[in-house]
Amino acid sequence: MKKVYLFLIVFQILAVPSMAQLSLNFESGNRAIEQGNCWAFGSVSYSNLALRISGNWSGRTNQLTNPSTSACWIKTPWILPGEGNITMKARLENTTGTSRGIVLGYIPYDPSAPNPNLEGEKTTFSTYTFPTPYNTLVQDITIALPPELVNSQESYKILISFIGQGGNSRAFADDILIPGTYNSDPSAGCLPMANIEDSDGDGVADADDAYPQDFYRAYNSVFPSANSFGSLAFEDQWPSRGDFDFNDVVVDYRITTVTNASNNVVEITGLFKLKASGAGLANGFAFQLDGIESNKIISVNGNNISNISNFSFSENGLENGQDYANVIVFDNFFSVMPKPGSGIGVNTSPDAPFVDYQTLTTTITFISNGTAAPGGTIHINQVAPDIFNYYIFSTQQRSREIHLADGLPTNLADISLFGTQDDDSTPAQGKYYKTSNNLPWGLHVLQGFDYPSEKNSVDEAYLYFNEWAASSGSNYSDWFLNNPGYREGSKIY
Amino acid sequence: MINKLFFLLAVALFFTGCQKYPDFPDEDTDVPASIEELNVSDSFSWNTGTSVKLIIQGLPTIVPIRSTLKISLPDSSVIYNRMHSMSDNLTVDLTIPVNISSLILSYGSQKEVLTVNQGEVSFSFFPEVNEE
Repeated sequence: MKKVYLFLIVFQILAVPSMAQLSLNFESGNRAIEQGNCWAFGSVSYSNLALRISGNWSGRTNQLTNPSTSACWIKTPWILPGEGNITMKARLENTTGTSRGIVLGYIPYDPSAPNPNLEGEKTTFSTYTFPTPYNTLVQDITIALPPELVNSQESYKILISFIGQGGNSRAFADDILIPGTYNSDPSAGCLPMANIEDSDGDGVADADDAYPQDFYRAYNSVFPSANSFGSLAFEDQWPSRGDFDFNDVVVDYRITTVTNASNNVVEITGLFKLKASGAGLANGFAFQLDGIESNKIISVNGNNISNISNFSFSENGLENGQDYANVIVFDNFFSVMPKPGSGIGVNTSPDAPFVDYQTLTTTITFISNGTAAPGGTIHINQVAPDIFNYYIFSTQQRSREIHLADGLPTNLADISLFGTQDDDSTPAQGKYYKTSNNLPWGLHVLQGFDYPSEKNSVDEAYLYFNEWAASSGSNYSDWFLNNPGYREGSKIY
Repeated sequence: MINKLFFLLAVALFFTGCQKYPDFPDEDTDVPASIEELNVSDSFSWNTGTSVKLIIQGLPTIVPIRSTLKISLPDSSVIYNRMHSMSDNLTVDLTIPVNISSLILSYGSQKEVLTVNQGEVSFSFFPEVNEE
């Protein structure tokens, strides 16, 4: 059964509900704030001139030389009228002129009105005339709310118009109080507050809720996007630099972060599409959530471990001995995608049979049925894409990790290999898994990557790859696209 | 005879000296032919994403207004999604494909296309006010 919550509204209740008031005292000094809250102004500005009425700011009209109610005006947001009097203060700026007054009208909400604000026909209900001879004294004005509005439970706006003829005087206005409850929604084009369907009662409207029947889940945030996969492509000969074909492990990924109405992470689902491994020896693939401790996580599911004796996992499925959560997605590429029997590895030799891509769905649970892990909750802003520290490792040697450029090694990495052969990792400088001329062992292409076939260097397959790298990404940032002249197709698998 | 030779030389120069080059991009002599010879900046990250700082200026509201904030790519795929109070300021670090130059912000019925400018996109709930 659907429940309806009026969750956007927190009534501005004073001591007694019927005494709720909408006020405008101009003290923000910034008309945009009131306009953002659905007040509207016609030829009325905020003024801190000496003739202001109270506080530091008052409203000030243009010259009152027009008897029309549409010349200088203040219009309230939608309100649910209460009962009592409208009160305000006003004064004239000088004594010139032949007529000066304030006209009050109301505007009903009309869903069929032919205007974007859905304002119905205005009805004038009171006119105040400044006392003559005109003076610049502050006038206290009190006008009863029309009986047809009192406690009507319908939405109305009050229009306060400043009129006049002759002379050049303006008017100041201040301390406007209107009995009623604010009922505009600034997030919905300033239309009246609406009843929002929220089936699970989590405070997120069904229209926005990816899980409208689940109180504990609300949103999906997807990286790189729900319509695409990112690609991770590794060389596996570290600390030797290898042949730069970046196909020793190729995995596409899509990360979905599920959050609840409090913006806490409920779970993260990684969709990992295994595409190729042009390697003689088997590799595993994992990622560390930099900065996220293992005790923030309840469980990890969906990974593929062929030889569990090579690992030490805690009850939640994360590796023991790590400062931060490490998720082993698979430990042996070839146990998920067996070699076809010819060519090197899988899907890198054009002459060898194609092996269907395999997809692993790994789910990391942070909150289960509303209960967080012992370490507490993680906010959505703590799981930005750059905390996903992807790496491969040798199936035969867990400690032989190979990360993307400058990816932090995990606690289990064999850092004694740093600085050997072609590796120039220098932890003191934050430099990891790069050669002396800063070449990497891994590429990360958010838009997806058609990897080179076996023994074809990436720069032979992608003709502007070197220019992209040499320019630090400034030139040919689209080098991976299939634009005319960008690729040597025969060198791409 | 010498005049004839000069004439032939001049004609030859005329037809060869101003030959138009094909429309190839200028070769950048700093870019080596092989990846192994590249000398890359220490700070280069070897990925095709870029960091974008989303900065939202909140508006003090008369009553608390909470609604869903969505940040989408131009193809409408939502990359960031959360409950947000309209009165709160917010700064979020996003990563987007480097070829994306604008993002779409949705909040309630509001929908704005935000241009990425020097690694930032910004949005304010304050309406624009035309001074009269």
